[in-house]
Amino acid sequence: MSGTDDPMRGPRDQAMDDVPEEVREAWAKLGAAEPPDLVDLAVLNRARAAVERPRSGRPWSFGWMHTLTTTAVLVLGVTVLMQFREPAPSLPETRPAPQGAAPEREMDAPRASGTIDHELRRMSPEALDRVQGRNDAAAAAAGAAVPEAESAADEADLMSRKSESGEPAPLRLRDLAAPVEEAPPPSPAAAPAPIPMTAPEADAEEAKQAQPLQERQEVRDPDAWLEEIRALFAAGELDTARKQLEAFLAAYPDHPLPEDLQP
Amino acid sequence: MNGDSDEALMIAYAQGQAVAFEQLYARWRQPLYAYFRRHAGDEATANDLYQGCWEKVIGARRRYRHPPPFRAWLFRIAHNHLVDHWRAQKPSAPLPPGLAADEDHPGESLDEQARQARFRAAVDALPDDQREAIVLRLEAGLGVEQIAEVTGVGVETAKSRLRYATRKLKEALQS
Repeated sequence: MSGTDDPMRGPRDQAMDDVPEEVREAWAKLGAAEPPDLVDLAVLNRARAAVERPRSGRPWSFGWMHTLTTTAVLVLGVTVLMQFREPAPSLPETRPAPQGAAPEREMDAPRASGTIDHELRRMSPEALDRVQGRNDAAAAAAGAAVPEAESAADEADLMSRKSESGEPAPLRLRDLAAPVEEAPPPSPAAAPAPIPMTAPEADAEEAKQAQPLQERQEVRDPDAWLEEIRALFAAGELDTARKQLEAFLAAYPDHPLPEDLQP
Repeated sequence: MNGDSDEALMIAYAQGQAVAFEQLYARWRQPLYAYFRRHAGDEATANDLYQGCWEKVIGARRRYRHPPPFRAWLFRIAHNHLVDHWRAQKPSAPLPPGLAADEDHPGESLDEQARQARFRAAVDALPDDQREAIVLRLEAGLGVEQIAEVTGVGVETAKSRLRYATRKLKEALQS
């Protein structure tokens, strides 16, 4: 595994025989570490279980029953919905009111202005107040409906103007699902030449390395990184976002990827 | 299937062939276990880390794409798993001690035993990232570029860590 003819060693590794033979020998004498059999068994069982096909919960002979049940439930649901559905509001009737009906009810029907004046004169003061209150409420409702309609119209207008002006449309899921272009691997020739470190630099580097890993902040938090990638997608910076996503997958190959960032 | 590359086996396993994983596991169980054993203080922790790492590999099987090489991918997951473990520890906790004595060597002379004990102590005393670099080099067989990739640092940093670790271990053998 650690021989000098290791195919994983790059050209730079071949040029630098990094670990002296005496260190390799002493290392080998540390003893081969082997996982216990029970751990082996647990891992292999877990691996097998992960790729086992889930068994069908229902035998095939009951398939028709499942279809029938689904259809019956659907029909029943539609029937119940139709039963509970309220009739549409009808227009006010224009037929003349019968003689002796309550004056307030008579006001519901449209009449000629002369007839209305005549009727109003006949009404009691309480009935007049009630009619006035009802008219005020109707006027208020009509006033509220107008701004709503205006705002809806404004929104539609804005959308059409956006599409005409070529402004980017809001990001959709299919944009996120576009294939990620893989960056070509860096060629060995393009790699920068090693720069020999001076003594103070080397000391500083060693001091930094002597610091425990957990105290350093060089490990990027995966969740925060994913949030940044999501923000890049939302801002429309698709190329940068995809490159970041690719780098994330290389750095955290086992981290679960949210649904909206799946490549 | 015996002659298949690691990458082909991993892809076959992702497609549902459990036997491919068995081959892959047989190849990498010892190097991966050694990686955790050299970092964890005790065997029980090493076992937990090792098993947890393989579970992550199994869980991420569908996300594996070739390249990168399987061994770099595997040890990247192992590295992340180890960092998570360190992060979960108290910051003031001492560095994880290295591998305890595995076995006696009755045939060796006292000098040789003392030399080996010094070497083991030197391995234990290495900073985490220097020890990780030398373990990845000697146990996993990774080159400097792969070590840099796995540990998320530049090639020069990886090379520097390996150089310091080697120098200290060599000094322990010669003192």
